[in-house]
Amino acid sequence: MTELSQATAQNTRKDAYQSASSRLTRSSLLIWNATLAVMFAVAAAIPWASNGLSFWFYLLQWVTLATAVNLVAGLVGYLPFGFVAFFGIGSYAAAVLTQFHGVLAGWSICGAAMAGTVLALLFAPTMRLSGVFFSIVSLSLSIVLKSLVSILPEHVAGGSSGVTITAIKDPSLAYYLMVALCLVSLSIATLIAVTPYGLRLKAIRDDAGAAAMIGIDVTRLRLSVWLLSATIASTCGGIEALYSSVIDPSASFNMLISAKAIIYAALGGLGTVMGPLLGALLMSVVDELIWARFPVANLFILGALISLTVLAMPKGLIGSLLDRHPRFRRWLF
Amino acid sequence: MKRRQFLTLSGRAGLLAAAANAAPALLTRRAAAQTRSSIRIGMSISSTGPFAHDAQSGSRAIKMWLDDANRQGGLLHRGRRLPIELLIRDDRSDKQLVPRVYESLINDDKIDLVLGPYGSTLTAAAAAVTERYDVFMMGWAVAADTVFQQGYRFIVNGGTTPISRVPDVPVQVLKDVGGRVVSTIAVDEPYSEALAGLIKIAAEKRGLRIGTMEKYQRGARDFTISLQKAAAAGTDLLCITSYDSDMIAMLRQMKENDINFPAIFSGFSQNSSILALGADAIGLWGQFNIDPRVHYPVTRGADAAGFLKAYRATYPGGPDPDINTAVAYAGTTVLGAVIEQAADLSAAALKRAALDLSGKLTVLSGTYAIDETGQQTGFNILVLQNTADGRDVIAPASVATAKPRYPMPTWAERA
Repeated sequence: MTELSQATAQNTRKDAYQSASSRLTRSSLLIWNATLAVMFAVAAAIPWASNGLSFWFYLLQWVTLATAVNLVAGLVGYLPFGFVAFFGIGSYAAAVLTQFHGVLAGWSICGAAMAGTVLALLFAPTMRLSGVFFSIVSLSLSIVLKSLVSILPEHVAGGSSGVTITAIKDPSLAYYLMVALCLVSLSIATLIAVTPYGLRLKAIRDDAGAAAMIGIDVTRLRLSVWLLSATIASTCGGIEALYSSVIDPSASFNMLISAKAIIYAALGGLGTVMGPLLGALLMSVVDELIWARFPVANLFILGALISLTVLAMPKGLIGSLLDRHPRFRRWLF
Repeated sequence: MKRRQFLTLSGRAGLLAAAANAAPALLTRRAAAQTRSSIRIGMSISSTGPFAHDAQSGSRAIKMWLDDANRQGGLLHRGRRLPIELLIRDDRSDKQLVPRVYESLINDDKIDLVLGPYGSTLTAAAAAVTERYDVFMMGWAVAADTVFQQGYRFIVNGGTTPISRVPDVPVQVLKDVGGRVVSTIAVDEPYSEALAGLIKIAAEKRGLRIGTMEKYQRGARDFTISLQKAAAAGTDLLCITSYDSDMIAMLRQMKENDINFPAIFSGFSQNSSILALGADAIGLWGQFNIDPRVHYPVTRGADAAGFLKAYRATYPGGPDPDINTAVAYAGTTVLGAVIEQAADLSAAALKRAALDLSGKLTVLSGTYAIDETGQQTGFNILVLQNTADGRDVIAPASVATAKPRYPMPTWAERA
């Protein structure tokens, strides 16, 4: 790289940092951090305050998955329909380590995270593709992985019957692990949003060629966010396996997991930090309200609501709000 | 005060405090039992998703049992007839929704006990919740033995023949008629694969040889190579443990390529889709759990003939009853007996009653028996063989209506 281009790159980074930090005021960040702190304090008290632990557990799971999928879909522009592969491999890693090898819960979750990272590295070459081609390959790989897990011998991964975890019977432990993971994933998303790293990712999403021209290492940044997202998803899968205590290939590699994470993130607003949180929160609450009241029509109603919301707000709740009221940009991100 | 005195006093105070805390709870429970006006049972049914069809088949029988019991004023519990309130929620065949459903039933709807969801995975997910809250669960569609190997205390299988017991009957028929080689074709899914593995074990236990064990991905359509390999291995009994649609494709490919087996067994052989093949379905061995000609000495509920008659009267023009309809009726009939036998509706009392009834209760699909884990050890499947004018029960020998036609007709003989 010539001296001129190095200087240009340095200036670009400096400008980017100033742009990122000036866009959000210190007070808006403080409010956001305070909101997160209150939310997680409430979440930590749930096991004492509420009987329905499952609702809260899965709410946090969807917030985490929507945030993780948003990192690759919203910030880099890849739509990973096979995202469930990371969730599934994490489930299996945690279940197999816990049940077949007697590994403690904490270490089995570390194993789940590592499994996701390794799988993301193996899938990394797919990032050469873009648009629909990436989505198709990602989907195919998750199907291949599901089949692979199914044909493994029973003593290795439970075969197609899956694994029932009996070594750990403490859902509260899994719940708190999920609270921690959710907090970590939102913190990572916030950090990305307020640092130049996030701006560079958005530059790549908007025009990878132009981003490379101004000195952004496109491949390295894409890979880093891909690994981050996959590791969060696989950790999430591992914790879910410990919570539900039963996994099988169909449930762990269920395409609905990818679809719901993408829908929740998109409904809230792809590319924003608050969007996936808001989308997952809103849809989980709506879902909770309708499934008990409409035993037969609940999925129909949910589908209709999602369709109407997307039609009315194609950029999601946060994105559409920012389009109409740009002055909120300081507070919503 | 000396340390010993302090500890003694503290211990007594602690005991008093514990008694004071426990007393209202005990009194409340006793009062609740005396003022109880109904028995509240919760369950989830899959209205959508991969289990929806089977779960709905079961739910029709559960509704029949419920209506029948409530017509008689409910179940006789502690000397009083109490109507049953059945609270049904949709689980969308989703393992992640099941814990929420059962938590909600326990905490919000205050049910007394639950019926399990459809399928082993969903039942295991529900059991993790019911065990945490000490709630009794009657499983009706839980074939996997692994669910009962986890140390769960309050789950009982009152409806289904465990998957481990299914292969024994057809494999024994083969041995009895002089066959020696068993092959399997399974789709790459839990039940199918597990059944294929158990068929292998059952065959080897009886000194029979395994020809081939083929496995395919869901969605595959060409089975010719697998069928030819099985034929080349000298297979006497081909066990197809996958879907009826795949079985139809296999039968067509057997016919096109003139591949013949002396016996073919599948759980779907008596499905209407297979019977619609006409002559091509003759001779197939299938599995069911009830038959109007098989009369077990039923001590509770309707026998098979009575149940089928009542089903057709309740659902005129509706779907035919299938294996899930029968297991659901068996499971709920057993549940009724357990509730009537139990000293109270606590999980421990219900499990005790379920164990006490083991071997003493006969329902439409046989004599109910369970082991300490709650797994079913009594019910056996019936093996049926399609004939030109219906079907024969060919096993178990004690209830068979005809001897097996072995070998079954070749494709040339059917033409």
